[in-house]
Amino acid sequence: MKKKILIMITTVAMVLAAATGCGSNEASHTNKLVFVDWGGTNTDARVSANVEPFEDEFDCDVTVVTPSDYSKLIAMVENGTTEWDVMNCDAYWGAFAGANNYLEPIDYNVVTEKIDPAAQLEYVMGAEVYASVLAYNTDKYNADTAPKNWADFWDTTKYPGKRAMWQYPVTVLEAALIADGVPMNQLYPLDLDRAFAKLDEIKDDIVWWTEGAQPSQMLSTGETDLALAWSGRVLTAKEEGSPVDLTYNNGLRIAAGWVVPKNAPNKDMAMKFIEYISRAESQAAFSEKIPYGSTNADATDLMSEELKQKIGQTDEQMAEQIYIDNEYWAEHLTEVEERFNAWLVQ
Amino acid sequence: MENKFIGRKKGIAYTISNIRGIKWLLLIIPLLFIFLTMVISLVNIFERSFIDNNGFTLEYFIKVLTEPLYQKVLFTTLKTGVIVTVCTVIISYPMAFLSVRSKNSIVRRFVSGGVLVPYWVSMLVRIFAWQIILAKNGILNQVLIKLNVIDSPLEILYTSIAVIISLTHILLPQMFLSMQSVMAEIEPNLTLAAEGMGAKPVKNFSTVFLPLSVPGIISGCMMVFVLALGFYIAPALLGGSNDMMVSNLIQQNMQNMNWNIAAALSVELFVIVMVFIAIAYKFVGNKLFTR
Amino acid sequence: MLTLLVFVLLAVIILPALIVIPQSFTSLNYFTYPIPEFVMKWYDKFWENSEWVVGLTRSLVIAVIAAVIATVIGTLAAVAMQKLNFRGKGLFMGLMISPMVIPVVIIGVALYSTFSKIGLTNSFAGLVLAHTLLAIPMVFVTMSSGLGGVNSNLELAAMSMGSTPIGAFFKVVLPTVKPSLVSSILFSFVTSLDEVAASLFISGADTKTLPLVMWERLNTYMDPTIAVAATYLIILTLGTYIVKEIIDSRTKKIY
Repeated sequence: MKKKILIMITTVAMVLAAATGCGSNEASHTNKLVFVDWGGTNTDARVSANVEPFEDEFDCDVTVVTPSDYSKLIAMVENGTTEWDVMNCDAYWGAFAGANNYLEPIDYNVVTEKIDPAAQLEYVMGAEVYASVLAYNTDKYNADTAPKNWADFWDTTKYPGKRAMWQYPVTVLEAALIADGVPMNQLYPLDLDRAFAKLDEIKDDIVWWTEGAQPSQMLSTGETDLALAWSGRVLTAKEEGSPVDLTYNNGLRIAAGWVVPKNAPNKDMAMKFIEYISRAESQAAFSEKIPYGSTNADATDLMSEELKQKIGQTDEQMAEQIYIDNEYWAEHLTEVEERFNAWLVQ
Repeated sequence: MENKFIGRKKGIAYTISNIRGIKWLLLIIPLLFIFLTMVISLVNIFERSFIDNNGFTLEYFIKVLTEPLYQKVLFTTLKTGVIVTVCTVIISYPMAFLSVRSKNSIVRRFVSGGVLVPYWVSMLVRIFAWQIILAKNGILNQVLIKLNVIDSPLEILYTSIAVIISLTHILLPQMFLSMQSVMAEIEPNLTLAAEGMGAKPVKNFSTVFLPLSVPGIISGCMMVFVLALGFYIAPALLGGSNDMMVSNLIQQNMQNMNWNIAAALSVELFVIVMVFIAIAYKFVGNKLFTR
Repeated sequence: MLTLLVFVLLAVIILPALIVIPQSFTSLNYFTYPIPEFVMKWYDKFWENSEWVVGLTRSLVIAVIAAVIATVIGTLAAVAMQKLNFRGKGLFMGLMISPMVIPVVIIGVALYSTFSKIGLTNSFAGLVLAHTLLAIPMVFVTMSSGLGGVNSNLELAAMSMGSTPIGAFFKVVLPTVKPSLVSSILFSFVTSLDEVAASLFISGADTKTLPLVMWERLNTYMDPTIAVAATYLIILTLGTYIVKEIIDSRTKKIY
């Protein structure tokens, strides 16, 4: 208890000091970088796996800002007051924002590592990978009885009850098309009419989630037995003891990567950071800490078989999954999202 | 000691109130604050609803007003606002009444304090509380099934009902406090006098107390309705696909770099609310906030 | 009869708020009832992670300051509306309530564009100003309806006995509108304590408030630590309220 009181008092003092502007961080390195990430467990993992070693190697003070916010990045650039140097975002959004002139192109003279071409784009370099996967409640199903693919997910007679899905068109439309029998390598450009028709079949059985932490909670409490959810979040919840699991079969891989906002104050440092994070060792270190995949093929070689299995990166698992087409989404996100919303409220 | 204090205060007050035009500070300070922080920069954003890279255009307003998606979402938003306002009035009124008119001072205190308890709990946390209660295997369904009221769990979570319940819960204190602060000033003697002259309590209530409490209801309704229109986190986390709010669309459009649409939607919402307030102002005149 | 109804309603209102408290002791890592086992691990986790503690303290400090400023400014505006004669009263009223009417996301962007140019983003002052702005309409509406009930004859009487208008205001008006004043402070305090959408734009690395910490968890991975934060918040704020009530009842006895 005494310790808690002590912490409280120190904190109040710190906050008040910050309020009056007398407390300031001592800079111990010559370079500076403002790094933006989503926060929570992801950022904790990233700071210890990547940011701290980066600070030492590049003699750089990294300011960690959370959470990533798309609207705020746009506002900064529009205002000409860019404060951020490097931000984590989904690759399709990065491609989209880059096409609209809000980002600096990635300097591939600096970033030379071999990155999966599906994740290496003009304005964004995909670093860690998660997938929209089929997740289930382990009290209800086990690996044998659970649905195996999106076609099963659509089968409401064999697997009755509600299923949770992301209230966003990305990967949801792909899942619908796969369920309808479209081969995974022929998804793009998406046949929207067909996808929505397929979604209509189970519209009444869907519960929609909007925030990443929701599906694990829904599955754990038995609100739904099945979900289309992000692999990283489900695995974190599973490791903490939630009764949830997933299959990588039909997984739709999304690269999350790094972008540099237009006119970033420490642009050169940002490129160096992206180079650092593209290295096999950096990516493997991150995957060790938190169950996300990697875009550098060499990183996979540094991982144990068990870890590869967990993050869905064994050769067999990779053959069952597909990367979403970032360029397709960069080009069509606005119109497809509008149509998706219109379909939702119908 | 006390005299000295009052004397000094009077002295300062006297000096200050003798400065000519000092009373206009009442007007100037709030105006300056709002202008400097908000108005200046809002102009830039609102402008985008009718100006894009190609100059003046009504494209975005036409889109927002005519496309079924935007019409539907606007309708849902307004509908939710009205239902929530009505619910808060019905629930708050008896409580506010009791909190000022109960003969037992402990009851009065308990009611006024109790209504505010949820107010102290962060909105995000209360959203979780409602998930725990309304879920398929939630507390409500567990209790109802135990009591044999229902056989299979009710589906409340992820429907409009959950949205209305949570917004009513979130906004109830605004309504309660607005009503209470007005009711507290109704002279108890007035109703006593009416009773003394033989008015029955019920009639007495409807002819004396109720009309006098109307300003509190109106200012409460204004606040609750307007605030309800702006909520989007609770509808997104507790509602179904039908519970999309205008603010949701604004947020999405901003992320998608469609600031023109986001601006047009904001202007639309702003104008609707202002027209609503203007109409209320016209009908009740100065009584909108005062009596 | 009425009392019974009200107490039932009260129970329905209070329980959902308190239901999160037992969840802070759950042995599971998600929210559900019944709770299999009661443990303290989330409390340890809360104190281990400075983000929660700092966020909570920061939020409380900001909320108190914002509540005071908003109440002063909102009250000034309400008095102006009431006592001054000027053209464009409708417009003035519209301006005063506009922060409540314009979607908060838009206000966030607007504030960001102004604040970023004068270095107020990622600052304590910036957050206080933003929260103050968002709370002003509620103070304005509450105080306007409160001031409407003041008998202006009393004020005139005080002035005829030698009080200045300001003196009369402090002696006659303020005591009568005390309930509205208290409501105003409460409204603005809680508005600040709950604010997410605009704070997302204004805050930065060193100015993250409690709701923002919660918001991040909601997007990434969330465990019952959030219930611990809520529990402390309830204890702190209810504690303040009870202390205030006790002081109130003591002072009343003296008179």
